[in-house]
Amino acid sequence: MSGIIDADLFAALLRISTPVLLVAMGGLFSMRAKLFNFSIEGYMLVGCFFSILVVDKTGNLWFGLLGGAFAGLIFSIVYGFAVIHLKANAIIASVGMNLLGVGLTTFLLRPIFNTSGAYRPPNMEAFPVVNIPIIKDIPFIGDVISGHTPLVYFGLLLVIVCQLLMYKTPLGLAIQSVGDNPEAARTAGINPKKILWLTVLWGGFFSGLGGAHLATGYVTAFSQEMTAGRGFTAFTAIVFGAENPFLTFLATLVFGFADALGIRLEIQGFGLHPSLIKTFPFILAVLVLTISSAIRMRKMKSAKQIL
Amino acid sequence: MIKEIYSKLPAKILDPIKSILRQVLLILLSIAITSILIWIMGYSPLAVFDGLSNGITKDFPGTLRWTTPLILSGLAIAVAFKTGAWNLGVDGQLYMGALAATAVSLGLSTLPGVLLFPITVLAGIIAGMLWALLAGILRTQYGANDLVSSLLLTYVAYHFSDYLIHGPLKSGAYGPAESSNIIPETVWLPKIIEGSSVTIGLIVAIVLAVVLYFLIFRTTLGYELKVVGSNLWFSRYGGIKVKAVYLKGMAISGAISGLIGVIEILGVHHRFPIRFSSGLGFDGIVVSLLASNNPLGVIISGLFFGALRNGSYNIERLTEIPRAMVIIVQAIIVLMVGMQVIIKFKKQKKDKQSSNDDQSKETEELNTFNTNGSEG
Repeated sequence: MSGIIDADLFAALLRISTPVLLVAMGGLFSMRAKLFNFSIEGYMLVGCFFSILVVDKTGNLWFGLLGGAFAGLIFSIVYGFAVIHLKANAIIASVGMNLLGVGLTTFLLRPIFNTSGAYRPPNMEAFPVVNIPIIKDIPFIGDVISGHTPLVYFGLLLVIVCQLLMYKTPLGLAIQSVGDNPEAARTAGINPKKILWLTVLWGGFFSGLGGAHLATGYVTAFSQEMTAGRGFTAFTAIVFGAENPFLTFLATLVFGFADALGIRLEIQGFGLHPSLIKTFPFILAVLVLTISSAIRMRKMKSAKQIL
Repeated sequence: MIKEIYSKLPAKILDPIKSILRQVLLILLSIAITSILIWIMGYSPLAVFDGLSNGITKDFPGTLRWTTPLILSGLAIAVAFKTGAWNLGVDGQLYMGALAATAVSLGLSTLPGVLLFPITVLAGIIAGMLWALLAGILRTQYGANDLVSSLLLTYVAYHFSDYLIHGPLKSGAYGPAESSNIIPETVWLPKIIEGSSVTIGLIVAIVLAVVLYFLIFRTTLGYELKVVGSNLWFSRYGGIKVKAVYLKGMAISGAISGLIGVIEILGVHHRFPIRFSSGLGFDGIVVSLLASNNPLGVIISGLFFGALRNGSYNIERLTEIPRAMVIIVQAIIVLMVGMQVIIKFKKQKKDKQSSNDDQSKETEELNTFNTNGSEG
């Protein structure tokens, strides 16, 4: 096993979990406001597509990231309108949004890139790597923490920002109160609709960014339905973390670990079939979901509320 | 004159007509929005209609081929949603059913057809059922959200089927496409239209829709399913064993999903091509929602989406317009149905108590559910 678990594995873990982390940080605020939102998979996919489109047109990776994020944001307006204004069922609207994401991106591949299945921009570059002074020279830790693309650090920073935003700012408290007791929130002068809109758009932006990072920094191409359930694992991470940014971050690391370990096992020819290895993160996600639900159920004691 | 006839028609006939008209309007609106997009991208704005008319007039057997799995997948969703089980894992259960049917028929290929056929079909149905029950039991035992777990289990099923087709079930000789070996001819479903892929599977789907209609609207179990689906609290006080009824709904839904896999393999492909479903399980959501989760309505809505899907394949071949346009139409329909449901609720609320503004919305919604439950 010594050849499998080393600094590279943990570095890969950080790299791999970043897209899912960004999406999870996007989705958790609307979940905290008790707006069931698993349309983040759809935003993510839209972010993938438009980031590649922008990179293809401009040749600039950073514009690509922004393009993906704003595409996610614009896409989420549809969801916000349906759920907040027209009071659509959030689950059904989420299913619709995810379908729309798949439909739009698959459809547009042909007229825009004149291809089907997948597209890789010819001018695709790699993101620059940040070598952190001092830290990079520490054995092991340096190998794990230093030498990533800026987005990895941005993701880690975002966790701290989200943690502060959620628990230390008036906005975060407003989001929580809208989730816990909309009536009390309204009495306190909070406009629940406005708060819900903010959380939805925030989710659209960062899910789009997560998708953009997946496409530009990781896969370096767009391929049909390339998110392949990553948005759903982000969603599971939020459920596991009970909308706490830090706990959610830990959950994304767990899934990232399964992913990174799988890739490692595959490269080393461990005898496990790659497709079998790809089931790991999802099996793990089901387990994590079950365990966290079981703990929560025991806490609530009265099983009535769940079933 | 028309008004007179209209007013004389009893509500029993009028209501379904009204709701069908409403759905047709919704479909047209969705197609219109999609057509604008198609037009902007430089294609013929009539592509969706071309696809539909192609599917209905020029290649009706092809439409029926797709109608079969779509009706079944709509039924799987309808039963689940009626029970309040958020089974979004139909696609995964379908793969498990297809895998079991393929593996069993290949493994026991020496058995005579009389034995092999029922064993194969049963294996597929049971596999689908168990995969759905897994998500169900995780909810009843541990409170894990069935929507999330059934979705995640679908991805497990995807990769697991990839593995089996690359590995243990790998074809010895068959062509370039990745698939299993061809299954014994003794289990192939008989065709009802020669030269097409329309098999007795279509009849099974239609019969099942009728059976489920009676099950849901005419039997005690159906009543219990609906009550559990519409209001958990109410049913608990009514002496219904919520968990058991919920699991029954999940099991029926999963069994139907497994059956889709069986019929696709035994009737159409005769082997397991890798990732053959192309989202059939998710299409069931649209099929069922458009039919308001009514099993008889699912037949009509399955036929509509069958024509749309089949036509889109043909149009893509002829004109290069991506068949994903159909997914966009479906997505918009889902979104609009989602909104419409609530408009209905709002109307009911207004009828009952006009003065109450949207204060304590949730409890009101619960009340609406309550009355629905006691009426049903």
